[in-house]
Amino acid sequence: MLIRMLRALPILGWVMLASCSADTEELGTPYAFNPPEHFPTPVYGLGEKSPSAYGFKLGKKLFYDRQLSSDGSVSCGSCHAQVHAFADHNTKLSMGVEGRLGIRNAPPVFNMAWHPAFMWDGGINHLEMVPVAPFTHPLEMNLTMAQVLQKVNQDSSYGFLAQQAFGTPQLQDHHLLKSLAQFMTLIVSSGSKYDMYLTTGKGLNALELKGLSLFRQHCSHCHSEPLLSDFSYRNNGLDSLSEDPGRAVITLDPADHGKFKVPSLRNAELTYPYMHDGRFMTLEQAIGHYRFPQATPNLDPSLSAGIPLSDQDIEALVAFIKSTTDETLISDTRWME
Amino acid sequence: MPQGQLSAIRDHNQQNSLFMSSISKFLFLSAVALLLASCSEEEPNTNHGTSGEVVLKLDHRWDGNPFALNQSLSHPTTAEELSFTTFKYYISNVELKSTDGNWHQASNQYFLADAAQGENQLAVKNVPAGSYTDIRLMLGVDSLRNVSGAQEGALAVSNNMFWSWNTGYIFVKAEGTSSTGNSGQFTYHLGGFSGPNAANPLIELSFNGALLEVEGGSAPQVHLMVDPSHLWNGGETTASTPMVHMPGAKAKALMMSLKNGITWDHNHN
Repeated sequence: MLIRMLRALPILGWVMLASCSADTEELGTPYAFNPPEHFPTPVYGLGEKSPSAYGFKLGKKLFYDRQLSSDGSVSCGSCHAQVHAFADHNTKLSMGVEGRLGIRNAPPVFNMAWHPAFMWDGGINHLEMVPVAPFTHPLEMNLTMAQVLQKVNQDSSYGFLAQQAFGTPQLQDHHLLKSLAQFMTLIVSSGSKYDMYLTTGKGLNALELKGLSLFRQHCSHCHSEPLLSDFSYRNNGLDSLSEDPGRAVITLDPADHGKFKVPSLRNAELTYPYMHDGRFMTLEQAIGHYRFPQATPNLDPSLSAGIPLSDQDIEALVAFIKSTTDETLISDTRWME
Repeated sequence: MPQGQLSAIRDHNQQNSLFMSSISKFLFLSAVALLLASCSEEEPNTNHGTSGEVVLKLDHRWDGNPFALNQSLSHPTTAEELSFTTFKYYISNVELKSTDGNWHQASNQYFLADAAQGENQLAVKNVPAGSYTDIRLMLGVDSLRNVSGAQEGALAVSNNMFWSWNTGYIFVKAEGTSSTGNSGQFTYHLGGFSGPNAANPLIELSFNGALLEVEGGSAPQVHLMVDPSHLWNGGETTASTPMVHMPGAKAKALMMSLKNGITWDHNHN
């Protein structure tokens, strides 16, 4: 008992030092949010809630905490793994608590600050609200937010970061959500060969350049550069009648049936399988699909005739997409578990 | 994705109230609390003598009689036999109209009323001294707070009045049993803040000639009656609509009916 108290002394010292200073949020450069110059203006501005090392670290600790699931089996990081650009481990659907399978393919978590809405159906309108869905979904982490909060506040290992980031050892749910948003905001992927090409005009080989040219001709009006998505909702003709209503779940508009958010193709080499249900295992299959999309009333008009692509074209497109793989994203120790 | 799965997503509201504490943690927290207290700044005094506080009291009624949860009720128009297990709702954006005809917005407040609580009263602060003739409030939560990320207090998501999969507050949660319908239950999670199905009406109520006198230091009361039977005064029944779990035409229709169940009763100056 006494030993535990003594152990806490240095922490108390920190608290004493920090608690009366005007600015408790030491902002180290590694934790500043610096949008790449070749990216558009982010949607999520941290603004006054500027990221702090402590807020980021608190968010990271929450992201990787398996205790924040009903059976202690999964964390956010379980299905959003850095080695896969923060998508799942190449499974179609993700496994939540007690081995329960989710209903859609887990999207990767990077460049989140540029998304105007989240999830395949765009049902979530703000980055800070994203974690509420997996925390509370019975097929994912299966807790109430009150339970999440209770687990965090009962775990003394959060006390220091909580105090530093928010000036209180007893967190409220908005603290959790804001620190997770800080963590996610800083996961920026802009270090690929494609990015080098965008900023210097160099770095892509002949095949990748051919792919980029084809991409700009056939793909980039939906997978807009440089984020490689326009974040719109479209029906890409996967099925004549989509089993999953997609965007229509949110809008209740039959014209949105089978529409899903256009995913960014950045790091797609790492995030397979593809589509909302993970039906395609390879990039070749996913791209090949666009040659012959299924006819369906909500099919995106740009796909009504399919995209005429030769096998060589697909090879070049695959090479281009692989040039968006960001080695720094998957090796950066700031967000490593 | 079947609707059933969506329903399962939404209704997982088990509370767990275990509290563990060790003495060392207690000591640590106490020390932190002391430290925080020692350097906290004085709250600015917002009452300058020219503004006061109004207490808004919400009394729940069923067709004129006192309403309580788990009470057998007969609906005055549909004759359905009902009982509520939950009746919670947001009141926000309170404004008062002064005798000069101007509306005065109370400082931004969000209040989660809950029939499970004995008393539901909201302290409306920073009301300029004066005489008031009308009150206006929103049943629900305004659009801005639905699109601005994590909120605090009554709007904290841990209050379980929030759709995780389709961002937005549940403005009204009414759940219970019913003698009619297949399931024997009704479950209404009503909301919607945008577009044609926006379901957060402003309700304007006159004091019918009575004046609410606000002065510094006093706390006059406005008593409103809230009658959940009005949910079914607009053509819906628990048999025809046993479950609403998202924004849409049904949610809007029920909200617009319930709106008429909020009435002014009397003031205490």
